[in-house]
Amino acid sequence: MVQRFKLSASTRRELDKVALALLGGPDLGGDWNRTNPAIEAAPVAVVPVTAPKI
Amino acid sequence: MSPRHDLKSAHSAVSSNSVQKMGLVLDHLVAALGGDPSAPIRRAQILLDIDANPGTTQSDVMDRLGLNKSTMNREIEWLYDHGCLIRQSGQQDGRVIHMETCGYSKKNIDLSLDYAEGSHKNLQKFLESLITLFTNPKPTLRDAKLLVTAADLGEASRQELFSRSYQAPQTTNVRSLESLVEQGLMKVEE
Repeated sequence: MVQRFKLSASTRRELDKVALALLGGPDLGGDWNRTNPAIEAAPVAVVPVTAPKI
Repeated sequence: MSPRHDLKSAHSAVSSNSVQKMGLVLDHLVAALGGDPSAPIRRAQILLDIDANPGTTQSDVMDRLGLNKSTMNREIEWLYDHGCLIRQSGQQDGRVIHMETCGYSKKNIDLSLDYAEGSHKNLQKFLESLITLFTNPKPTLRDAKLLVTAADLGEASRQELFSRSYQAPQTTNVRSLESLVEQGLMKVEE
């Protein structure tokens, strides 16, 4: 029987976080990607909420 | 933009999978360290720090990376002996030695930076967070490549892992794989 190897689930999760560091993931302290869409996105328009007329 | 740069960028773009990118970065770092996959990841960090700070001194690198003097001396000697860096005495104080990367090391660090948005800081953070995955205090680039290969393949036999990792005597690869299992980073499926 040939042994098969795989990453443990926690290692896989941690490795995914390590990969983010290459792009400067904010939680890992690198140079966070300046083209991050979350930063560049236009602000969402604020719709004033008025109390319903009774 | 030169055709060579176009080709590099196209290659980076095609290898969009983040796991594969990590593997390519490791390949360039191995090439930057004289093609030695047994090099500790810490050595790649030192080389990268010198590349990011041309003309830096040994004590500055020690301070930035928090390394002790004996480790630092050993690693700097290794890097110098393998033609990874040049050293020059200071013009004002001849006792101060300034260092910078050169030749194949510089070229391959530049290639690895293509995958880190050209940022030394990102690449340094990548190596630092990679080291923290291991409980072994001196993980090598070979260990890291085996992990990344396993992540790419999902589930694989020993031979499948070794054929996609760095060439080495079977015993070297087996030792590295067994160490990853012992550290709880990989599991064996019967």
